[in-house]
Amino acid sequence: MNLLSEQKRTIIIVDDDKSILKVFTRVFEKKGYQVTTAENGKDSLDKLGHFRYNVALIDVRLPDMMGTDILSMIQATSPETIKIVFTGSPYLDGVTEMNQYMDAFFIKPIKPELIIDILEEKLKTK
Amino acid sequence: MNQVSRACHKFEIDSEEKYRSIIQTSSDGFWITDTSGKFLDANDAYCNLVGYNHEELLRMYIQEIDVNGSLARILRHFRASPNQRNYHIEIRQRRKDGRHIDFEISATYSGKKRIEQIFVFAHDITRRKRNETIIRQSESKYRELADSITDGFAALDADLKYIYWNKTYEKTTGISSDLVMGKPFFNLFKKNSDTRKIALMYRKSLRTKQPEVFVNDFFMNNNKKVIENHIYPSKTGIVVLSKDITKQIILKEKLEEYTQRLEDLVKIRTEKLKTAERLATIGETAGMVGHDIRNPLQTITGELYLAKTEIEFLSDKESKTKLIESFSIIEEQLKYINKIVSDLTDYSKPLMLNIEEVNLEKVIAEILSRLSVPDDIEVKIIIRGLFPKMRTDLSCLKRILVNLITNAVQAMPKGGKLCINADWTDKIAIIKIADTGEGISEEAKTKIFKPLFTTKAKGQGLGLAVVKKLVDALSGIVTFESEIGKGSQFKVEIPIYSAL
Repeated sequence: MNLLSEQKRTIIIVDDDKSILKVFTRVFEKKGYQVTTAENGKDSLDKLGHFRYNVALIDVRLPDMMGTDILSMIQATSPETIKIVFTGSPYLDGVTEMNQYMDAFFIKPIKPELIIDILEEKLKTK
Repeated sequence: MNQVSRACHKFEIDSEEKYRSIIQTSSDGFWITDTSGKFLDANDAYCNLVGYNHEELLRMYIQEIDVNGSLARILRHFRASPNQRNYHIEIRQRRKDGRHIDFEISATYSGKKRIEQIFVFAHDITRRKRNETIIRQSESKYRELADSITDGFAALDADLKYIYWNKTYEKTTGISSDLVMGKPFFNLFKKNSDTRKIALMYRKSLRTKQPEVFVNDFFMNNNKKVIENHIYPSKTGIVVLSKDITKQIILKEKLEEYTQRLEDLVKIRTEKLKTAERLATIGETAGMVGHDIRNPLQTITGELYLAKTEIEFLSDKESKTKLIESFSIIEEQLKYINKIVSDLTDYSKPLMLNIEEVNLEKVIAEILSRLSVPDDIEVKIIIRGLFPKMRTDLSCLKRILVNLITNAVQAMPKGGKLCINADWTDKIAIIKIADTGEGISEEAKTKIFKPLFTTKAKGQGLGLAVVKKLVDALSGIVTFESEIGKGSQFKVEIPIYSAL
């Protein structure tokens, strides 16, 4: 497993909406991140199993599982990863229960500059 | 037999034989005593009736047989009225076997200056007496029975004169039986619509010989009683039974009231259930719509961010300015879409109140700084000094005020005056938000708090529905006054200290 030794920050974005993946890829690449995307839970778990990312941006409602399930897996294998959850369904059961594992929780739409600001701060301290 | 021949002489019967045969064949008893009561003679019928034989009787005095002193009464009568030589009374004697025997006797005497002998014919009336007693007893039994009936019970003859009036009637009307007996109905009761109706029913039953039933109201000590009257034709007139059914009527009315209340309750619950179902449907739809709109919103927000960063590299100043303006409008409209989606989800989500200390002044100031109120709208805030710190749900309160202020602003597209007034009583905070805008039409007034109703050309019309829901959740009241062309004022009253 690769360690987080490289200079470039890494982020994995998990969302079943392709346009969201596309726009956030460009946003974070512009900010100098190395971006990985996953469209479903299984894909994201495969990728998370091979690499420890600095940041994980995860949608809650995925076609095959809940984003919160991925969250607990990351917490177990890579606790230092900054975990940001965003969702279009703010009142799904169980979302708030996972708060303890989240570094931030947003309801879509969220301005990218807000995520970027939070990440800057979190990455500085971690 | 000297006595008998003397008697024959007295009754002018020539032959003793004739006299004897008459006396002996009579089934009634006959005896003769002197004034001391000693039996001088008696016929066989008497001997049989009292159970003594002839010899025994002639050794006896009548006092030994008399139960109620017949001889004394007879002598007293004849001495008092010397002209009357016949005396009829009822007496009782004791037979040899101890049983009593009743006689109706006819007595006379012999002697001119003074009474010498008493002659008595005695007719056995024991059976008649017994029957009389039985009749008397049974009559008193019936009377007792009629008096013990808890219903009013009366009998009237064919002229509607009272021949019986029981204790219950005495009690309920306050008129004693003595006053009623023999009096006609209308002598006792004043003629009015009620008594006329009663008399009419009595007469009908008399005429048709059919029972009748009717109900009338009766006032006693200012208490209304409901009486059910049964009239039965009798041989000589009618019998009336009056039953106090006030309690049953009250029970029936109560039952009807309960039934009505229950029906109302069911109606209200059904209505609530229908509303709940409708809201649940709205909720589900809202959830879906929310999710489906939020994703494209996210993409647009992201793309807008990228476009704004790209704009920096544009050299054409004019294009740059125009693009920045466009982006700002897009951003503004995104905010609006977002608000609609939030309203939808707010309205449909179950509320979880989080009570905390709230400074109303600060909340209003914060809301006004966040909402961009156009310059042509004058904002006036009047908050009564020393406004108490509230304990309520901050986000609910905020949302209520944001929606009401947004509505007020939107009601004044050509500018106007927005007035926010906050006052309090000891327990209630009163917040008024007034505009000088278009006002609300009469038609719109009735459904303004209903979800998905709007007077705006755009928007989901959930703003006021959300306000209502949130104010309800805070145990408050929201009301409004509005006049077309002059403006509207919404008044929110919520507890300063929420009980939750």
